[in-house]
Amino acid sequence: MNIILNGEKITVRGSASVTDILEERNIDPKTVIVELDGIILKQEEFKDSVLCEDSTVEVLRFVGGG
Amino acid sequence: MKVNDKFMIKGMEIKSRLFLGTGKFGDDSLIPKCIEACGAHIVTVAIRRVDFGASTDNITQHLPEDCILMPNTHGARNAEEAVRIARLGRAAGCGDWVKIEVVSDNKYLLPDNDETLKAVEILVKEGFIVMPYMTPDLYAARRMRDAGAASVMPLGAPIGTNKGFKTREMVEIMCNEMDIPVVVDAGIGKPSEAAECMEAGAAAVLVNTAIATASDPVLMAKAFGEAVRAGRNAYLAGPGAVKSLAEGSTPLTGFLR
Repeated sequence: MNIILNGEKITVRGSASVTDILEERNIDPKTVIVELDGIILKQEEFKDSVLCEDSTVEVLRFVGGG
Repeated sequence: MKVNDKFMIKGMEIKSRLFLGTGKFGDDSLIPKCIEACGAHIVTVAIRRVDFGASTDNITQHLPEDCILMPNTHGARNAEEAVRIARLGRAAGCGDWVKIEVVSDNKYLLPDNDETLKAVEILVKEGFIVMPYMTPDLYAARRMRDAGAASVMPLGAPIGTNKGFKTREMVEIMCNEMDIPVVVDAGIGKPSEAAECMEAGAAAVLVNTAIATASDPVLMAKAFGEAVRAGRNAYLAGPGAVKSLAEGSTPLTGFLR
């Protein structure tokens, strides 16, 4: 199925969770913020948050800024 | 001598009147060294999409635990985007502090006071400690305060220019008239300019580019910390009067003739 991940359209397997998306990219879930379809997720919700066709996922983190 | 000079924001004592921005450092491992050198207590960070192709770290791993992390809303072009970024920062465990930054002008990066005010109104109601970056304007500052802003953060000069305290007249009026802290943010390029802000009555100064892009950022951080303390002490001390005619410091009596 297709989803939008950080603004890019990508294909993932059906029933993939947010945790799956992060693990495939070697991202430590403790270091990121995830917004799924406009809803901010808590870290404990990553595992059970299953993506759907056309889901929009934003994976964010803190960077240097003034 | 005035010894009781606690700097309080929303009931919390802030241990330093120098806020440090964490952008533009060539090596993020310099950041904790700069924090130690200047004594900053409030440190700003930003939120960005993860670049899956890069191995960048989360900046917070470089920051001491006793710092107050204040995410900015950089990248927001309107109030709605600023509110979204603020909520993301809090969801990430950053606490309730947020620096509102709404900019739609890409040439001078001047803040949009109207959109900023809208964001302040929303975020204060959600329990954030809101510090709006703004173009110096007393009326706008009063509206920010009335909306519940914890401080106002007028720019000294456009972001990242290192031009210095170009807005002194307007900011000094704000310092004199506002009953919440006025924190000069952006454009301060040298420690002497930070001291000037403090002498003008600013409660604090936020510095990033001038420290991060110095040849020796840690030494520059130390210099800024000292300058901010010196400027604050000068403000508290009350400078002597400026006069147009010369007046010798040495007594004008008892000359040897």
